Amino acid sequence: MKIRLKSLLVNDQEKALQFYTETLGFIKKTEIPMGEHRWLTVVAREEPDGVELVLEPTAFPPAQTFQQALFDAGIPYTAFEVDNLDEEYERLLAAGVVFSMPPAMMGPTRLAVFNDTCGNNIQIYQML
Amino acid sequence: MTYYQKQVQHLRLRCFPNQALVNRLIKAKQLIDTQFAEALPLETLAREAHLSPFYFIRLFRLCYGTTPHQYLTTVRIREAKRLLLTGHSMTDTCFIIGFSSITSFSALFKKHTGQAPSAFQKKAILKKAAD
Repeated sequence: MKIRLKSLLVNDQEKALQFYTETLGFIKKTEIPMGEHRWLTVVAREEPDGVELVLEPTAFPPAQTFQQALFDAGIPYTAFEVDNLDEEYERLLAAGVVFSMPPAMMGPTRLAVFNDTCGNNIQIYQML
Repeated sequence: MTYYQKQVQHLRLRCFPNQALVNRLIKAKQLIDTQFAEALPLETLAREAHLSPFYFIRLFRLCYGTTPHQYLTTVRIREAKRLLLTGHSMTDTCFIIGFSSITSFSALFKKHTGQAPSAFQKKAILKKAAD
C-alpha cells in the first residue's frame, strides 16, 4: 500500500489548474474528463514522480461547507514545503498572491499562509 | 487575526517559549544537514547547541520529533537515494555519505526504504527506460 495522492477541494478546477501551475509552479500530471468535471492532478516540478495533488471539485454540498469553515478560520487545507520561505513569500507576493499570515516562526519551522483563490488557505513552511 | 493565527501564536508560546534555545538546536540540525558525511558524534552536535548531550537529545526530539541520530540517518539515506539515482555505484555512495561498511549501509538502506541499494537503483533505471 502506498500514498500516491493528496486530495485538495477546489471550487473551480480550471482556475485551480492555472493557479497551481502558473503561480505556484507545479506541473500538470494527469487530466481525464469525468462528466462535467475532470480527474486532475499536479506534481512538484522537482518531484515529477512524487505524490500527486488531486484538484478535486466541491460538487458535494457538505464538502463546500467543510471547505468554507476551514477557510473562514484561516486554517490551511494543506501545506507545501519550500527551500527558502522568505524568497518564496516575496516571489508569491510579487505574483499578486494574498497572504492571511505573513512569515512567522513556530519553533524550528518558518511558515506562512496564503489564499489559493479556489476556496483554500495553503501553508508553506521551511524546516530550519 | 484568524483563529489559525491565534492557535499558532498560542502553541508557539506554550511549546517553544525560548526561541534563543530553539535557534541553538537549529544550528546543530543544520550541521547535520551540511556535514552528514563527516563523523558527527553526539558530543559534537551537543557542543554546537551549547547543551549537555542528554539535554540536547531531549530538546532535539521535542523540536524535530526525532533523535539527532535518527535524523542523521534520514539525511544520509536521502542523500544515498539521490546518489544512486544519479548513477553512483553502491560502494561509492556508501563512502560518500559517511559509512565505512557496505554491509551496514546496505542493511540500513533496506530498513529505511524496503529495498537493497542495488534493487533500488535497478528499479529506477528500468523505470527511466520505460518512460
